[in-house]
Amino acid sequence: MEEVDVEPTTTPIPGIDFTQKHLGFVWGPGDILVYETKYGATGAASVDQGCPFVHVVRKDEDIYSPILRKLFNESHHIFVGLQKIKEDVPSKNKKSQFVSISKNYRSVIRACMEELQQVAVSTRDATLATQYGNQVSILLAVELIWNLCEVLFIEAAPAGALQLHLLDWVRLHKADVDEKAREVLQSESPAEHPAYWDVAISYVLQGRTDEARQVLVKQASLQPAARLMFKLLDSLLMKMPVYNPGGNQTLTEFDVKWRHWREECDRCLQDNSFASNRHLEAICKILVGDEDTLLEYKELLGTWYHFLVTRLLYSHPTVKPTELHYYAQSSMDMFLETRSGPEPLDSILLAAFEFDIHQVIKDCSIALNNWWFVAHLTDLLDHCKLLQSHNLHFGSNLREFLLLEYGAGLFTHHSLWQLAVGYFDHCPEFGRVYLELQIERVPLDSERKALKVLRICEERQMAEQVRSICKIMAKRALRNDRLGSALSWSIRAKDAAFATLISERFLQDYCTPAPSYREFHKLYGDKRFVEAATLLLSLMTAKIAPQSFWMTLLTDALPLLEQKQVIFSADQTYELMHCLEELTAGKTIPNTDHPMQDEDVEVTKVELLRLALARNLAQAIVKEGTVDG
Amino acid sequence: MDCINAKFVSQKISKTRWRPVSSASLHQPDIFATGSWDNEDNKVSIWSIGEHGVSNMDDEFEGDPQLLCEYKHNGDVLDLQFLDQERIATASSTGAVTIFRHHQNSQTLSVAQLWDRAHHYPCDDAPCTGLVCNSPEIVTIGEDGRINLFRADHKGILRTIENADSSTIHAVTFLRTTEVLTVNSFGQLKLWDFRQQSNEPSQILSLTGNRVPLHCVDRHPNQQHIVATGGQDGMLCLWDVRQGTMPLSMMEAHSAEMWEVHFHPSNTDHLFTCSEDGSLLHWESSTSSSVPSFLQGGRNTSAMSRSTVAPGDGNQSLTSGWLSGDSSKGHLETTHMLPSQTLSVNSLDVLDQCLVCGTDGEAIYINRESSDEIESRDCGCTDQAGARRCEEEPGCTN
Amino acid sequence: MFVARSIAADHKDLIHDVSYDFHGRRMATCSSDQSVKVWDKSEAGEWNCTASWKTHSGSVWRVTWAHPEFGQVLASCSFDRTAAVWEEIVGESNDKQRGQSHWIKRTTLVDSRTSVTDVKFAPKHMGLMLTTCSADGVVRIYEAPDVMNLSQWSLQHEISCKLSCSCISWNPSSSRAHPPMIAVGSDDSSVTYAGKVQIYEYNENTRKYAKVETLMTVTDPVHDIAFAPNLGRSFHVLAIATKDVRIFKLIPLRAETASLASPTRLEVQIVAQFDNHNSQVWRVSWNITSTLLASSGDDGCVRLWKANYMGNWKCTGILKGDGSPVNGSAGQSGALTAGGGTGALANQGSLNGTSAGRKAAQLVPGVM
Repeated sequence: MEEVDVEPTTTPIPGIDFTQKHLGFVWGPGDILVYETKYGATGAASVDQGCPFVHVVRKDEDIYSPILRKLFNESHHIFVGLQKIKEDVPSKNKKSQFVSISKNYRSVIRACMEELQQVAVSTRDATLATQYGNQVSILLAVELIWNLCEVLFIEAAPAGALQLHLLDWVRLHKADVDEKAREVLQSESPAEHPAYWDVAISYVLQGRTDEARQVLVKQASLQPAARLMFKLLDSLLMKMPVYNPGGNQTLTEFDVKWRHWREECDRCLQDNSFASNRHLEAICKILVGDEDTLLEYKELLGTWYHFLVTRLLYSHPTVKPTELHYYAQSSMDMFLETRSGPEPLDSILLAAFEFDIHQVIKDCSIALNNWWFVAHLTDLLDHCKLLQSHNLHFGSNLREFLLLEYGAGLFTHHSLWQLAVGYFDHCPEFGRVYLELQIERVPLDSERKALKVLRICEERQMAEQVRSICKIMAKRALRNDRLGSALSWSIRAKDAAFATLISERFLQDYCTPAPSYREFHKLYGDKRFVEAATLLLSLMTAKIAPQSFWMTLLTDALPLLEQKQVIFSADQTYELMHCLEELTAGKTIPNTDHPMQDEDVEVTKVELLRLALARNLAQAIVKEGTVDG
Repeated sequence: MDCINAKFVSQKISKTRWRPVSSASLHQPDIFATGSWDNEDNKVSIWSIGEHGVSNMDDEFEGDPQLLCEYKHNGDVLDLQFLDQERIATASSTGAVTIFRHHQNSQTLSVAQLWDRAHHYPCDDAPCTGLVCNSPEIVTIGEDGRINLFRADHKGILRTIENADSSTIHAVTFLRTTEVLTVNSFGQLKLWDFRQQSNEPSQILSLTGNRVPLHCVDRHPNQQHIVATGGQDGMLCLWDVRQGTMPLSMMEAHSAEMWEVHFHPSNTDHLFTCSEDGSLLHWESSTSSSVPSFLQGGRNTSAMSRSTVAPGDGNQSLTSGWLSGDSSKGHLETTHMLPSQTLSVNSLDVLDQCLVCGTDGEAIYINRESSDEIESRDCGCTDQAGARRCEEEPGCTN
Repeated sequence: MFVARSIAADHKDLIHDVSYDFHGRRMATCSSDQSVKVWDKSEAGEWNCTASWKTHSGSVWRVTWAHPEFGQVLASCSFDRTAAVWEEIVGESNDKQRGQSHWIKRTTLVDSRTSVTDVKFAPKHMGLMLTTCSADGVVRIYEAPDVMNLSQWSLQHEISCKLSCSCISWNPSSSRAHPPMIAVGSDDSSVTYAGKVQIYEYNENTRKYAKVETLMTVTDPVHDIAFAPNLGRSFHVLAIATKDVRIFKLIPLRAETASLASPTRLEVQIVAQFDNHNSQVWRVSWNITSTLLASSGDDGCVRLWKANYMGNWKCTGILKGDGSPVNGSAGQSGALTAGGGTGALANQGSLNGTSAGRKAAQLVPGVM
């Protein structure tokens, strides 16, 4: 596979003299910051004043277009739906599903394109209009390529039907004929309109014989002398056989019928039936697929691929998929001979006609500015099992590579990060680790946003990210003296040490002076387990039991802490915490990496106790608030 | 197969609210406001689904919302409510509370009042998480644990309850003119009576042994003592604030945070909830089948076809359906109102026959049912929750 | 790519380092003017300086943020032979309303006898640890045992590298399979034959850092060094700024005896080497997912490098000073989204790691 080697683009940074200074930089979440600096300085006071600017350099611009945002959001929906298509659906049913998904993607592109077109026309800003115009052109190209890929690879129409699909493709992308036709037919005297014959011939070039006949009728009525000639052409056009893939007719039967019709057209030419009217003669020559005549109408055809499809229509309507590449190459050569060589779009379409899917994807990623198109198309083709059969040894990696690039691009955007999650979810190899790296960088501006980020992490069992986000939020709440919030975040982070620390501050702030815990004994007098709890606590706090027995007592407290109703009050919980800390203060917690089981159990027990105590404290505070109120 | 239409708006929608319809007019609601969040530039926008918008080009289907005007909003719009027909109050992640005026002649928005840092920490900004209007009064709440009382025409703050909560207050609603109810991240409901000078709640309710944060609350339109709350675990609870501290009923509604819950303002046996899990649920407490069902037009099916025919128990009062509160006993029907979604439904509002909701997928969905618009549609299959999900083809766009 | 915004940094001398905080909402700049400035991004996306203070009595070489789990904490290092830890404090004043915040010095680390050339926090799973390296050839690892009290730092390890040190990088892998690992680069030009990159690894048994590898092929002065995020792989990727840009793959070889006591042996493979900067390369840095590497060199350019799915590395973009005056020198120039124009539509990297400077117009189908 050849690799196109293109010079990387250079982005100018204003105000920095590259001959004298260095360009410092730092990666940001969606941008890169650059500044003037001088490396290798020794530390002696420098002589020159630095350039005082830091420049924010952004990478992709399309992602900031509000209209393209609709494309990203709508296609995300389609993408997620596509991933849900079950493996066990019979492949025959799947094909129609894939075609319909492909059409959905294209309809989203079209909707976007139309909206861009509208704003391009309505904007007064010339630069913006150009920008929108360029985006329209790119989407137009994208849709053209996608449509062809849909016909050739996904629909994979056999001979006969293939020609019909290609005709639809050309008609859809050369819709200016209809506009011109409307203009001509609505004029006072259509037959005398300067574009009259252009319209008639354009219709014929697109195989739209019925419409061509309707246009020709206008001229026929003006030229009673040529009535017979018009009638002859009309009957040729009317009789032109069209293959009906759903009908009873076999392809061979159609072919025989078509050959008869063509011979009839040929005879008319040889008889010079249309010799007196060059337009009618030209139309008849088109009907027999005369290449020189077709090439005379280059302007009307516009593109080599229109020429190709018209040529196939009138010369090889039963073309097989495997023969396409030959006609495509020769059509391109014939059509472009006077012009300069092929441009990127030409090469991409040619590669598609050659059924070289990989080349199409590769060329598209080089020529287009956005991963959106290649990522979604490749994913769809991969679902159609087209990449494996195309003997690409890296098949699914290509899909994942493109999806990861697209997803990472979404993460550089302030708002689109939620969409990226759906793409990373469907990248089996690196999706998870990409998500882990990116999701924890999402700024947590409000608790609402933190909860949304947290939900994404929790649904995917990303324990470390969950812990980290909760810890950041707890730390922030503590800094702002929001102890209740800090406590609930640290409990959610399962950070026992931090929860204990906050609990202590809580008690300092809210429970001073701490009433004697003994006062609480009486409040809970009647219930036996509460008595047990207080007794247990007093055994420790009154130093009745030796410290060596404390861990046993604390472990006995665990089931009481796990009770649904709150048994230990906030202050009692604090006392218990105090005991636990006193007990563990002397010991350094052994490194958990050591395979020393006894210590591990001990550490787990301490952690469990801390969490249970913190939880109990939170509940106690809530409960006491409730009772007091 | 589409059930309701999506309008993609290139901004994440945090709030959607119908403009109130004046009681004199027989009009259906046709104007709504949205607030955005998590964009570099957030906005408050006014949309129309009626005729008096910009008259529409060619083939856009009737009822597609048209943007009337928008105004930049500093910070995420965390809450938004119409104060009256012309004024909208917003809560910002910067802690600011703003009143916007919608000038209907010129179709413009302007700032009528701004309380900067209405919620704040000693140094940093503290998001204002919610507000509730009872014109001219506005009550706001925040991550800072404050409750503020404002009057729309009054620059100063009428009343502040500092440290009303040691955790974040997530939602607030009026119970009566002098009394509000807040829910917090400790899972508590607190009642505050502004007639009392004390900065203590007059009552606290919570689920014992359960500290699941509560995110939304709505009061029953007719029975002021009945409230519905939604929690982080997606649980829907109904409470009678006069009775005890336990909820009357609990229903598993969503698999993630419930962001909003709303009783239908006039058809109170209908309730709507939306969630981070990407679903919008319609709850119907079945009472009498003779009551014309909201959002169920003249023909027999709508986008939300009913899953089960509940045993008619004609004599129940409107609320008793909620209060008996056990969906498994067939007293309640739930219906999914959106095509299978993946991104959060942050907000919903319902008025008369119209429902509007907004999502993180940057779409606004409108459901406007009237008897002559509904077409008979068969929408999908019963899912495990016993609710009907309106399935669409994967990737169906519109 | 395009310049979206220019910020007047207002340092009185050369800027030596700019550092983003973990979420990209704050940044810190340091300069030869001996000060550090902290910048906060407003809701509208503008950068406002919220603190500026004199930090050292010499040029400040580097400034770096601790993970936000530890609060709002900065570390700086200087020619004045010290490194310092700073914490933002919440005061009762209304300063923040005026757009100012307060940073106080928690500690000064004075162990170095020469210029402290680099300062880095260790990966957060190791706790709050700070590492410095200095021209005297010593890497020092400090730890704050109580994360609530940042004024107490204890010197845990001193690694003598024998060569003047210029840069350090922690291996970010938090996998239990990978013991803590740090790479040290040297710009010592007095010794020409020695390897200038050393890799140290923590040994559980000795509780010390031990050298596991010296990259003998790198003999020219090294100015910067950067481990890539691990991406769950068994091997590590290290980028080096020396007379060219080099990317190495370090593959731990699991000892047959599987003894934890013996240090990991590393197989070193060179993955890519670029001399496009023509001379010295001064900085290298990975983006978040390590799909892009950026480098800055004597040619006055920043170059971006990208690997395709086949693992081939190519230059995909260049940032280059053009010497022209900055727009809106009074302050921030507005976002030039429109002005950025269609040039940016051309593309920014591609499947093959190449970048096509082709115009979008070339893709326009014939109908246009």
